[in-house]
Amino acid sequence: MRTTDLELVVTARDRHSASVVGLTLSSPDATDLPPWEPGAHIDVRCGEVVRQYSLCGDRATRSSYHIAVLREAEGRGGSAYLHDEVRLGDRLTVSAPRNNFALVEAERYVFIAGGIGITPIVPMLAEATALGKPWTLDYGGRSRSTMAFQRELAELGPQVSVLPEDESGLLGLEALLADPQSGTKIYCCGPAALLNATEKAAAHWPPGSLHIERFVPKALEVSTDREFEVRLARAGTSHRIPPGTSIIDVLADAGVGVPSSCGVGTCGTCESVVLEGVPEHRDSILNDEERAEGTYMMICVSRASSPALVLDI
Amino acid sequence: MSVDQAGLPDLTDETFLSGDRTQEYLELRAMGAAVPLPTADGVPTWLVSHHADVAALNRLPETRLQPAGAVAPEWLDEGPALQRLKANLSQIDAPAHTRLRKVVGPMFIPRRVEQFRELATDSVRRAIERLLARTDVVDAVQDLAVDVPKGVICSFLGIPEEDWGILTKDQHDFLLIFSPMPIDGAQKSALDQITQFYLDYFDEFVSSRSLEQHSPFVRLVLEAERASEISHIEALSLLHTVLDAGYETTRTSISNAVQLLGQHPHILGALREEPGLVTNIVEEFLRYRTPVHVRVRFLTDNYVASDGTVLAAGSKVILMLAAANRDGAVFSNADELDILRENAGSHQAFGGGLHHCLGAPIARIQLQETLLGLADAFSHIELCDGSHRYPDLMFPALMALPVRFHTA
Ligand code: HEM
Ligand code: HEM
Ligand code: FES
Repeated sequence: MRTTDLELVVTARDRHSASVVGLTLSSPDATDLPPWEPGAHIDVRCGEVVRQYSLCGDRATRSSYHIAVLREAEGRGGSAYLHDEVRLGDRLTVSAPRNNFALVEAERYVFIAGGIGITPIVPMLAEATALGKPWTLDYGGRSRSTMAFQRELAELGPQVSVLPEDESGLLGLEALLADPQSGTKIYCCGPAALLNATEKAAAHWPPGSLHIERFVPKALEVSTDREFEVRLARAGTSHRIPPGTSIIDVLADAGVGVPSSCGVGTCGTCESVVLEGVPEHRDSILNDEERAEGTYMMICVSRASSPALVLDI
Repeated sequence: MSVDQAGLPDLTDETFLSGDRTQEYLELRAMGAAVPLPTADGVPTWLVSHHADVAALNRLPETRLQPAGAVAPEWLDEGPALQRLKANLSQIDAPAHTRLRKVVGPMFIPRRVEQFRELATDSVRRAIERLLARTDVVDAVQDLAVDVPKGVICSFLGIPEEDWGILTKDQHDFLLIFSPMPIDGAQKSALDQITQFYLDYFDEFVSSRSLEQHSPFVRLVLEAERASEISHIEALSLLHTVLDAGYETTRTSISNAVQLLGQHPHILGALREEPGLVTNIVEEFLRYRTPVHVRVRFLTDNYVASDGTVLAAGSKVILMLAAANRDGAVFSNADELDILRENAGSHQAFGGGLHHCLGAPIARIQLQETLLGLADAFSHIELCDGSHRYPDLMFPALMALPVRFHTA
């Protein structure tokens, strides 16, 4: 937990759709929480794992945050926890808001959302309206019953198109983005297939027109790494290295800084001495004997083929 | 925040180029994670100055140094320069880059270059002895910063120091090989001529003695040639690269360090008291006065910047290493020099990823030994009038740094 983390109380649970639950997280003493901009997200600790959720409430309400959580079928644990285990009055540890998807000033906006990707878009619509900028929203999803915020969106008028796949098919992105317009920004959030299709359909727009948000980092989606354990002989600590994260990143998050430079196993800066266990080398600098010997490893890329490694750190 | 062309600081202005750049880089970062630039040739071009994106793009293994499908710029026609460029690590892509880097990469990792620390200590000691004999104003560039890499490079390659003059005299013409735009006929023939000179020099040098009589580095390269892993011209190019990429960069980082020591007089004392600080001081100097300001990559995939902006595959990204090194999102009070800064080593001064500076460990050793040598010999460094920087966007080298070294 970081010093800037917040302990918030669950003060409301609403159903936004069959599979989406909305949580209102309030400061325990009704004081103001850190402010946020449209597009911001918070990290939420869900038992053992941490998940990111976009803030989608009203920014003027300073003492609480609102998030909308989709129950993922083979979800990575976090959504099931928030759906099934978290009750009114429970406390949750969350990070201060951060924004990787800020709304850049523009003359006009085209918003495209798929499924739960609607969440960061909702406050953007309010902001664009407040700024007096024209906008449109195309919101796709599998079926109406799964799509959150329909009531709120209907109130915003005809610039909203709610387009469930079982009624209207896939979003007609080619037609929507056929004519590039300078001064217009496109904001898109949703599943990878929608983001990829939007990137393709907007390829002829001026550079900088398209802004997207991916919830799951690309690397995680394709990773085949196994989890293993790293014990530090001198520091005396022990760390789990999950798939898709390097040893050096896990150590850095835990406050154990190991110098690094290239990040891909070409420079040797992060070289560490292996005391026990078998490294799985992924660098490009050790020679064949060194690999076989297994005394050194580059912890920015290499992993373990044994369940645990002991490093001289 | 609006990203409009009008707000872009003028990157060709001389005062900016030879100045300190703190303010302009601050404005650039404030314009957003990726600022689109107007382009003449239809290739979308972006200025990237946030640390998160510079570091990520440096490290993306799929980015390229030449646009997809190209191995060299179109305007560089057949000749020695083209042959040399195709063997120049910092300008080529896989598979040639992977093959060449594999030959020399293992030799340059910190564990192995530690054995060359003596070369640096020795080179620094000789330079400081000469300085101690002088009481007048000296030029820290010519009278110190040149000498350290000169001694190290000559011993590392095994070439005589007497040759240094002819090897560096017209080195500047060779930099045309890095030109981002077409060069004219006269420049092309100057470039071909200097390239041929270097290839001839190293050709003569390698055949001047037997394999056993060469330095360990030269032996490594020549053995790779004998094993047919690399061609003869590639072998000569790898030797030349140590001189070309290792000289002016190191000279400039040492000049920068002397200037910072003069501007922050407490550091010499702190070092004398606690020599162990030297590692972090060197990293903080490289962060705060980054020698190479710009690197360029071409994207082969769409890249989503840290603020969601999509940079299309095929785009050219101009990575502002020096601006990223002042990003307040990563470094607190980023525009202040702080020798105790905990994450100083997260700077991007050596780039990153597959093209991460080959010579970084040996450059670090030279800087560390220079700082320790200066702290040992001198009580303070007085900066005198007349220093100036070369107004180059990518490499604003100190051309003169008049100082007085005081012993007590
Ligand atoms: C403080 C001094 C130095 C600085 C600031 C510096 C900086 C850099 C930078 C920024 C790059 C580009 C990295 C990238 O594109 O990611 C680079 C590449 C390179 N540097 Fe250095 N450098 C220094 C000293 C040296 C030395 C002493 C050598 C001697 C061997 C050297 C050899 C190279 C080579 C061969 C490359 C190309 C590597 C590749 O593309 O695979 N550098 N350097
Ligand atoms: C790694 C890349 C580069 C480095 C390290 C570098 C370094 C330098 C240095 C140290 C000088 C002044 C020293 C001297 O005049 O001998 C200089 C001058 C100059 N540079 Fe660069 N530069 C680089 C790239 C470029 C490029 C790509 C161009 C443009 C094609 C360029 C154009 C010039 C020009 C025109 C001068 C002035 C020449 C003169 O006064 O004779 N440089 N550069
Ligand atoms: S940081 Fe370069 S090898 Fe790990």
